[in-house]
Amino acid sequence: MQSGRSVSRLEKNTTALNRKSRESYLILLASNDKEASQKLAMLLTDDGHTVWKTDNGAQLLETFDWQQPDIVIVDTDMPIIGANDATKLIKRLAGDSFIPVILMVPDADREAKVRYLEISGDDFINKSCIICNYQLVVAKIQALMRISKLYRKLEQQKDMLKNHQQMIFSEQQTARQLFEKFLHSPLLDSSGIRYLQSSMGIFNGDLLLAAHKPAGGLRVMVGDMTGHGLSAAVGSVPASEIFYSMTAKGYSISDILVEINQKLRRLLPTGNFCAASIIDFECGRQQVSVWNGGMPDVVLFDSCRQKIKEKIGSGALPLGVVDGDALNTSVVYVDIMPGDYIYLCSDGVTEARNPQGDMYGAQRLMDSIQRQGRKANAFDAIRRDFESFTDNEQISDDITLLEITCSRALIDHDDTADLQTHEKGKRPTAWSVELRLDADALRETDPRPLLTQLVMDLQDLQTHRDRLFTILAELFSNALEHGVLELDSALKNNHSGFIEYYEQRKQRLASLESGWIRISLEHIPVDCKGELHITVEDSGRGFDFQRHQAALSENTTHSGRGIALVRSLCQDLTFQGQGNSVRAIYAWGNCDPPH
Amino acid sequence: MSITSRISEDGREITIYIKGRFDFNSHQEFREHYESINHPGAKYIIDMSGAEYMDSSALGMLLLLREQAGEDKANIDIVQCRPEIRQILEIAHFHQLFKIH
Repeated sequence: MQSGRSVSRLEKNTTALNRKSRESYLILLASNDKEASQKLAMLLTDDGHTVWKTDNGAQLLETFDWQQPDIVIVDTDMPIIGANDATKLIKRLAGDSFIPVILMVPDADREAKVRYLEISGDDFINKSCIICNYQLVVAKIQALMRISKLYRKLEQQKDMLKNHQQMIFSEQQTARQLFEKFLHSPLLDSSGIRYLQSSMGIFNGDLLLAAHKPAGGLRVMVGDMTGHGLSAAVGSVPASEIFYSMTAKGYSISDILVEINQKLRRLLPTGNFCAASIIDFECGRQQVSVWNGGMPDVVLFDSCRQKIKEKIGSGALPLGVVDGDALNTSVVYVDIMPGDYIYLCSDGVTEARNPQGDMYGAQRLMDSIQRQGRKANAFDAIRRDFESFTDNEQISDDITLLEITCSRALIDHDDTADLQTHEKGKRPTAWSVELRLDADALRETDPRPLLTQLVMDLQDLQTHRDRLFTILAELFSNALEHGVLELDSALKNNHSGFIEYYEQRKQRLASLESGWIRISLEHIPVDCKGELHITVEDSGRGFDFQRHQAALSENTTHSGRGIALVRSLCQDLTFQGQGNSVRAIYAWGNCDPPH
Repeated sequence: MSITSRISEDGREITIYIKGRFDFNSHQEFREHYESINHPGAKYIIDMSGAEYMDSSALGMLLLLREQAGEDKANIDIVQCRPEIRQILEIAHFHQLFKIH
């Protein structure tokens, strides 16, 4: 027979092909044409593939559902469920996987080929090809399988990426928690401070720090690192570390600014910096000192007269831009009343946009504070104004908005409550230290934190730290301001005088040529307790302390507060010499067992 | 956002024109412009007449320019600032570092 001869020739060819094709596939074949499908099945099986035959659409789908083949060959002439519908259903069952479908079409029907490819099939073969051009069939199968494999590879990569993304996300969440633990001060959650903070991404490039100073009074810092995200947040770690440790040791705002500036200058690449505003509440004096470098105005709201009383604008470069000497670290002093409120924010607030693209702006914020400041829940109202303007528009920067209630911030934080009467650990030992500072040193050095730390290191009196610092601070200030600089403390009795006083202090210190202060610390053990003898002498003329003795102890004005306070903390306070020397005795300890 | 520039005949002065939003997207382009001149003591004129907005990364870019131009010896003029731009530069206290007109 003619066909028999062609088959045998074909058989030789397929054997050759068989050697070439390494892959073997699971092929699902659906056809009503018994002769055609049998021939095709035989050829494919000889080639090493596994062929499952079905003769109608329904059976095709059932088989497909049972086990997905690598490739499907569908005869367009098929009962029960037509080829088109069947193919569509197969594609749906395959879901995300790509399972090629080849349609067997009768030779004559040209439109059919176009139609089937358009609708659902991936390729087609003429029925006659099965016999006369089997190689084409094989080639098509190979081509489609290559595509299928590529598809599978893409799916795998997609899964890998997804897992990777999950991993990074959970790493970032952990890092974020670390940051928060590090940066977030519990003081922020105490009454007296209301705030709104939101970050653009997982990490916040805005800083919000708060601490109590050892001598009493709150210190708050709001910072804004350039940019946002992790690279911005990283700089906040050293900055906050410096803020907290130096505040605890009693350093001033200016000292802290110099340190943070230097650190960021060294650490951050050029172009990155930290805008910041810092506020210090001085308790006892109804005053704040403010530093603003690159931030929006710090606003003081007078709740008595129900209006904005003062705005402190940026007066210096942000931190990390220039070297130490070029940075202006001087602060502005502002008088406050207990009923006042202070508002700070980062530029994420003033530069936030609404859906129409308008910026909130400093003026709108001022208006909002002006309008809402008098209300009982002012902060919530101000926040609502802001949120209704931005109207859920996607935030494009980190946002910080803060309200401080002055009456709360001015309260001396109570350190007597947790004062332990029994000192654990170090026995009292005998030691002494003398420090002498001449004019140059007085200009450059602040010995108070240094000396306090020294006492802590030598005698471990941590629970007494604040009080010791206060004593040293007051005695030193006295010696410097009245003894060496010869400032008149009477100036401090009124508001404008206060500013004048500090101006004079700055000037006289800057131009100081001669003078000295000597501080001696002597520690004397007494049984299991101790006494710290602090002597401060200065090169000044002194004063008639005997005459002023009574006045001093009763004096509750600004200038007298210091000495009266020291007296209340010490066992003894005596002026000596010509009044240019003072000795304080601080007794600590308790020999009773702990309770 | 678009940035164009013009270098003087003698190659010692460049005027960079900023148009639109000057923000973190402008980084690459801005740098290419100011790096196209490499004369010690060169004068840089940053023309902000077309600039609508500046963010902190733009401030950072100016600092990078200043670094290239010799830090304290830099000769940089920032001119034709709209009120919004001027305000941003003032809050950042940049008049301490740049000549602003």
